[in-house]
Amino acid sequence: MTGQVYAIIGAALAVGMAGMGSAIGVGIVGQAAAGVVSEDPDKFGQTLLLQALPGTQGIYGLLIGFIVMSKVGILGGTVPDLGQGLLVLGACLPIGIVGLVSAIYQGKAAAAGVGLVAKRSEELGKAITFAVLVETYAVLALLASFLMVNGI
Amino acid sequence: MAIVEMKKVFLIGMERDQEDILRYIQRFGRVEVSEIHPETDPLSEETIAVDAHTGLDRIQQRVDSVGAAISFLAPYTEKKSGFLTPKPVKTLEEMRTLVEEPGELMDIVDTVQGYTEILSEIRTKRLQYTNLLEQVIPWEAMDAPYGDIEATAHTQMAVGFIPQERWDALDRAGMPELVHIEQVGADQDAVCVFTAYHMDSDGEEWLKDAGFSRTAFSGLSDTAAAHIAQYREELKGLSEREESIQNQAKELADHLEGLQGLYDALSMELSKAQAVRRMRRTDTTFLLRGWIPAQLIEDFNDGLDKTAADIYVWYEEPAPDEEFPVLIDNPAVVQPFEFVTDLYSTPSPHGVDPNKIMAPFFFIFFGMMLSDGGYGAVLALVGGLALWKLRLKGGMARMAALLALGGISTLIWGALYGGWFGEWNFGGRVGPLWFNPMDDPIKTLIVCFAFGFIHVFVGMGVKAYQNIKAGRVLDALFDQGFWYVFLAGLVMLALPATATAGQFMAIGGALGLILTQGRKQEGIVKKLLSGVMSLYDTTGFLSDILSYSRLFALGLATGVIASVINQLAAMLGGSWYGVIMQVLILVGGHIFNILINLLGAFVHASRLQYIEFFGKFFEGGGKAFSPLSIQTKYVEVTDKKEAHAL
Repeated sequence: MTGQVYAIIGAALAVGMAGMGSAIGVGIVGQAAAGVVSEDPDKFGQTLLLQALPGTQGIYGLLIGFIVMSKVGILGGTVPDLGQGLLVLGACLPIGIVGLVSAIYQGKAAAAGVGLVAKRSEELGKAITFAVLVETYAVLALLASFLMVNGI
Repeated sequence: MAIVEMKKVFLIGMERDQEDILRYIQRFGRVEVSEIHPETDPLSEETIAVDAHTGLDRIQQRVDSVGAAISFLAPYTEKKSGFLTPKPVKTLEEMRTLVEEPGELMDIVDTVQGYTEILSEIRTKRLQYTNLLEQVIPWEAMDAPYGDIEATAHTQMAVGFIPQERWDALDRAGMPELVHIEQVGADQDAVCVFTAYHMDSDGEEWLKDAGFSRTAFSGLSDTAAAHIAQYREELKGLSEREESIQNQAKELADHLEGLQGLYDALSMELSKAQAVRRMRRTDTTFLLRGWIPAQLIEDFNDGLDKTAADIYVWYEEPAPDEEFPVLIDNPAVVQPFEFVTDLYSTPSPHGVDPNKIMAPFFFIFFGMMLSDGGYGAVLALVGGLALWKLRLKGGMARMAALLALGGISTLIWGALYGGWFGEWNFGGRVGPLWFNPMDDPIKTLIVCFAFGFIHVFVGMGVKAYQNIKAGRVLDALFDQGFWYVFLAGLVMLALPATATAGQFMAIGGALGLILTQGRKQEGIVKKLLSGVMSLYDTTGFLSDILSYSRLFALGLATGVIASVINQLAAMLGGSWYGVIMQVLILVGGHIFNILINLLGAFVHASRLQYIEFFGKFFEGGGKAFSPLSIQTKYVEVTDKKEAHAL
C-alpha cells in the first residue's frame, strides 16, 4: 500500500507541477496578447496560437499521471510494492520539474513573440519557433518520464 | 529548383495609352512594377520622375474614408456575413463604373464621416458631464446655491472636505468663537462641510488643523441639486442623440455591400496609382520597368499588342548578383507546404526553393505526431470539405489543403500504429498494420531517429548540391562528404554487424574533417586545431537527431489523452443522463484533443524543418513577388484573366 502512496504522489506531482507551469505560461502570454488585441483585434488568431504553445506541458504531465494511475492499481494495473512505488515517484519528476519550469519560460518567450507579431505580423513563424525551442526540453522530459514509467 | 526565372521588362508607351496598358497589366496579374533608379536604368537622362503623389494621396484618402465607413457601418448590418458566405461577384466593368460613378455611395461615406464626428463629440461631452456629475453629487443635500457662497464684509464662507477620520475626531470643544461648521454631505472617505467664520476669528487656523481643504466650484452658481438635474438632463439628451444617430446608421447599413464593392474598386485604382509612381515619363511617353516570369513573356506580349499600337517593349536578364523578386512554382500537391516555408522566410533568389524536398518530410512528421487514424479521417474530411465548399483562395486554400494532407498522413500513421480515436487495436479486431508504439517504445524511438537521420542527411545533401552547382566541388566533398562518412560510420559503429566497417569510416571521416575543416585558417597549427575543433559539431548533430524524439512523444500525447477521454466517458453511462454526459465528453474531449494536438503537430513539424533541416542549407531573406494585380477583399472579380499557371 505504501508503494501506491508514493506512486500517487508521483502522479500528482507530474500533473500538478506541469499543470501549474502551463497555467502560468499561458497566463503570461494571455496578458501580452490581450494588450496587442486591444490595439489590433485582427491579431487575435495569431496571438491565440502563441498563447496555446505553453499549454502542452500540462498535457504532458496529465499523460504521465494517467499512465501511472493505470499502472498502480487506481485505474487498472497492480498495486506496487514500496520499491516500485518510489521508482514511479522518481520517474514522474522529470516531466513535473521540467514541465513547470519550461512552461513558464516558454510563456515568456511566447509573450515576447506576441510583441514581435504586434510589430511585424508576417514574422509569426519566427515567433513560434522561438517559443517552440523551449518546449524541446519538456518533450525530452516527457520522453524520459514515459520510458522510466514504462520500464518499471 | 522551383524558383521561377525572372526577366526584367522595360516598356515605353504613349501617355494616352497609359491607363489601358496599366489595366491590362493589372488584369494580367503577373508583372511586378518596380522603381526605376535614375543612376542605373536606361533612358533616365531623357525622362523625369512621375509626379503622382497628389493623385496617389487622393485615392489613398478615398480608400481610407470608404474603409472607415465600412468599419463604422459593419456592426449595424443585419446581414451577418460569416466565414462561409461566398463573396459577391462583380465584373471588371462594374468595378470601373463604381470608381467613375460612385453615385450616392460617396455621399454615404461623407454622411458616415459626419456621424463618426458627432458620435465622438457625444462621447467627449458625456465624459465631461459624467465627471461634473460625480463632483457635485456629494453636495446634493446642500440647499445653498453655490453662487451665494462667498465672502461678505466680515465673514468668510467656504465649502470643502475633511477626511472622515479627522471629522470623527474633530475637537468641537476647542472650536474658536464665531466659527460655524456643518456637514452637508459625504463623499467616499471624506465629509463635505460648509463653514462660515468671522474674519477676525481663529477660524482659518482651526480649520486648517482640522484637515479642511477648500473646494472651489468655478462656473457653478445654482444649488447642487439644480446642477445635478441639469447634468442628468444633458446626459439624457446625449443618449437620445446617440440613439438617433445609431438608428440612422442602421438604415445606411443596407449600403454596406455597395461600399465594400467601392472599397475594392478603389483599392484596385490605388495599386495602379502606386505603380504609376514608380514609373518615369517624358512629355508624351512613359517608361515602366518591372519583373516578369520568363515563361510568360510571350503571353504578355500577345495581349499587349492588342491593348495599344504604339508601344516598345524589351526584356533583360537580371544581373548575376541582382536581387529579383521570388516567385515559387511547385506542383499542386507541394503548394500547400509552401505555407510552412512562407511562415519562416521567402527563399533568397539565389538559393533553392526547399518546398519540394521538405514536403514529404513534413507530411510524414505531421502524421506521426498525431498518429490517430480517427483523427486523421476527421482532419482530412474537414480540410477537404473546406477546400471543396468554400471556394478558398490563396493562403486559406493552402492551409485547408495542408490540413487535408496532414489528415491523410495521420490516417496512414494511425493505421500503422493501430490507434483509432484513442482505442488501441479496436478491441483486437483491427490490429496495427505495423506495431503499437506503446508496446515497444524503444523501437518507436529508433524509427524516429532514423527519420531524423535521413532528414538531416538530405538537408546536408541539398547544401552539397548547392556547392557543386556553384562550382565548389571541393567544399561539397569537405563540408558534406566527410561529414557523411564520419556520421554514417558512427552510426554503423553502434550496430554489431557493421561495427568494423563503421570503425574505418568514422576514423577516415574524422581524419578528413581534421585535415580540411581548418582550411580557411592561416598556419598549419591553426588549420589542424580548427580541424579537430570541428569534430565538436558532432554534438550538434546528435542533438539534432535526438530532437526527432518529439515525433514519438507528441504521438504519445495524442494517443494517451484520447484514451483518457474514452475512459472518463466509460466511467459514466448506465442511465440516460449518463449516456448524454458520455456523448458530451467524447465529442468535446476529442475535439479539444484534436485541436490542441493539431497545433502541436503543426508547430513541431514546422520546427523540425526550420531548425534541423533549413539550418543545413536554407538561405532566406528573399523578397516575395508582388505583381500589379487585382486584389480584392470583399468582392470577387469574375472576368479577371484566368489565373496563370504560375
